[in-house]
Amino acid sequence: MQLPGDKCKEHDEALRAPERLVGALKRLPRERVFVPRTVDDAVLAAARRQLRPEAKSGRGWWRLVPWAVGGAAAVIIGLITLQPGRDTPHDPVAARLEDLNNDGVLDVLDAFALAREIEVGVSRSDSRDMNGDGRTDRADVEFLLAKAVRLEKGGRS
Amino acid sequence: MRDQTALQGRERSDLELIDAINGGDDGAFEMLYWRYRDWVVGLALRFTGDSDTALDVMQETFLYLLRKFPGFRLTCQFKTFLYTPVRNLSIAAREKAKRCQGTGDEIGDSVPDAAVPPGDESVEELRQVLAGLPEEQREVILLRFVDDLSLAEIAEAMEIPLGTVKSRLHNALETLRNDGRTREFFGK
Repeated sequence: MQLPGDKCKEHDEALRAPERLVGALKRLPRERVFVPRTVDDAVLAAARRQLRPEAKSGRGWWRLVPWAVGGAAAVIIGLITLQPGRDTPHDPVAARLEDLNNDGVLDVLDAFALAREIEVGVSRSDSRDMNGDGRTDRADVEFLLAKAVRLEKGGRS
Repeated sequence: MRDQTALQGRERSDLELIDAINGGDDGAFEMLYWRYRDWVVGLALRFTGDSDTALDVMQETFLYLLRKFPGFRLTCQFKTFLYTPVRNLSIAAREKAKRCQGTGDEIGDSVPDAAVPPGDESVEELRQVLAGLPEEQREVILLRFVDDLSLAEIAEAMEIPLGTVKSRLHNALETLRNDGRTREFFGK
């Protein structure tokens, strides 16, 4: 069977499979993996957060981007440093709460993990209330995503 | 929403979508995501044998892809590009699971086991023979005839010489040809 992308070098008959075999291989029963909507949302939200600011940047603005990023980073670091609350990354307790997958890094994978916990209904405890609004819901995923993306833009935490 | 996005996505090639993503078009990324999400999850499941781990691998794969932008240039078929991170992330996930659980399972040692439609017993027998193949042979035959990658693309994806791909495919087909349960597919 000739498949798309094949080159004429593939003449060896021994490497070809009969149509019936190829058809059967394609009909092999495959286990379907259910992908929760929150997982899709988390991946696509990460994409929006990374790609959109650059889409809005006109060509002439590119030269200002490093300065803007540097300025924003300085402001964020200042705010984080001055804030005595739980968001401080140097606060080991807060960092531990946000590192849901226990890999020692706060990144979007933690947001994905929280999204999946919420999807299957196992995250109702206060320890997952990332934004401090008293509830554990998608707003906490957004909060964690925003924080993770912020950290990644300024260098992986 | 998803159907509409997928429909629009079919009208644009992978390369066109990647160009758009390089320009900051997150909608193009979404189209690419819907186009390949299920394939990535299925491949990850083939490697890990666990649907939860496959979901993790899928997420991390698209995150890895996202980090390539802007400035990403596709020089091969998109499935070929995705294969390597899916395989590597699957291996890492399984290693992590082994460390946590102390299990000694080998990676990718199974063909997904699902219900076989009535009257499709020959397909079930094919599944059994495939499950008995060495992992590297099984992966080559699935990439070739299920995922429609060329031999050169398989070599690139698996990071092995083209000759190795050919020999693995040849050996796998020989096994299927000589096994009584799958001989009928070869017209014998």
